[in-house]
Amino acid sequence: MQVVKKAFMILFAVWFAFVLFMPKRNLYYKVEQELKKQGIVINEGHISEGLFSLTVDDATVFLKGIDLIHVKHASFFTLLFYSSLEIDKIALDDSLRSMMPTKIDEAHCSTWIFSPLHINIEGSGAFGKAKGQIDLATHKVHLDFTKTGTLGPLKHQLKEGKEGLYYETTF
Amino acid sequence: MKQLFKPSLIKWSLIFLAILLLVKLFWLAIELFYLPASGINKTEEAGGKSLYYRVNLSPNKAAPKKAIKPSEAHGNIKDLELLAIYNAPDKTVVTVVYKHKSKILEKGEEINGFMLEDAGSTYALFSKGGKTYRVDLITEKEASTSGGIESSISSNTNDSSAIEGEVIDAGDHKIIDKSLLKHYATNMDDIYKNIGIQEMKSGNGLKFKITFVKRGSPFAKLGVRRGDIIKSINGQEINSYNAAFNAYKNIENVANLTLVIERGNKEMELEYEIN
Repeated sequence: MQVVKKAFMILFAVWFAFVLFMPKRNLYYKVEQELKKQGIVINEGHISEGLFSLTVDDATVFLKGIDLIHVKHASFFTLLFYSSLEIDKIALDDSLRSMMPTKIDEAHCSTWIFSPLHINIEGSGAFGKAKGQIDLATHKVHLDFTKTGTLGPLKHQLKEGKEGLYYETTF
Repeated sequence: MKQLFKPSLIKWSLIFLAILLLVKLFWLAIELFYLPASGINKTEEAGGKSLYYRVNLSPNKAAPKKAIKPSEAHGNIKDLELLAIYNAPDKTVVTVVYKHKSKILEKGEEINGFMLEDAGSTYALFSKGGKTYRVDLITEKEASTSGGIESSISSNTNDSSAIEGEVIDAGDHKIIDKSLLKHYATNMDDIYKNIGIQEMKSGNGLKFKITFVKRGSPFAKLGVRRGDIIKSINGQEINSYNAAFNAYKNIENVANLTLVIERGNKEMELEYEIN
């Protein structure tokens, strides 16, 4: 029992040190570098590091050089076995209004170490509320609309399922 | 001698600190050898050419054809009422009412001194004394009540899914209906149903090549063809997605449109008037 206790304490110390000393800002820069290869550049107004989190304020996302997405606040949080990303006030360029909702109040993405290829996503805005998953293994996105508001252009992209409207696409 | 701390506590504290130190050193090594020290930020593109308008300064050349302005119903153009339009690729025929009598006119024919120049899906263009006048098709309601010449387009402009307006060939340039432009400016996905554009690497920038143009579509009437490379729009060089998107975003606010394309090895200039 003593051995198990000691092993657990060492494991806890390693995990704690690992999360605490994680260079979150530099890891974020690394993500930025990788995104740039895909033609995505993020210009952020302010970055601040917390014990377990990293927050980015007033970010502008450029897709292939086009200023397309504005994010008021984004917060990355990780405990290694659980990671999440919370985004508040997403505004897409108005020229995309014929394709998708241009205002999203909040979005939440999270992933567990037990299913690292599944990302749970939730979002709410004028369109209502949606909840679903991104499956990185099958490259599939499934979103169930739990509450619908002004769907606008989304209306034509949604399908009727047993539990209501849903959106499905592959990438 | 009495000990201040338990030896096991000191031992565990030292182990804990050693772990912290080791992990810190591990992250430090990762940070130094693998992770970037600064982020990537996009700087605003500089050196974009401003919009320009063509001015012909050559004294030997004939003056450019006068731009066709939107018709203002004045003079006796009001005596004409447009009842019907038949628009085929080779023939344009309209039915007008003049002094309570209906008459069928072909392109080039005159009535009350006004010559029929062209017709769109909802209007006809007449010319008189170098001026061009637009007469809109009267709706059933208007025909039964006032009989005046009013725009029938305005009633449909709120319906974003319906494509209104035409591209009319006016000889040296083409006239694009503003409502048509507005439709494509607000329905980006409709563009790609009619025209295919593919990016190609060109030095440090990009080139945009037209891969298909749907036959009979407004884009085909613009005069662009498969294989054309879009060089510039209104003087703004199209060499990046940002430049292309900016041109697209501002398209609704322009009065004239000049498109420079590369066809084969030749550069061509296509001019349009937004009406």
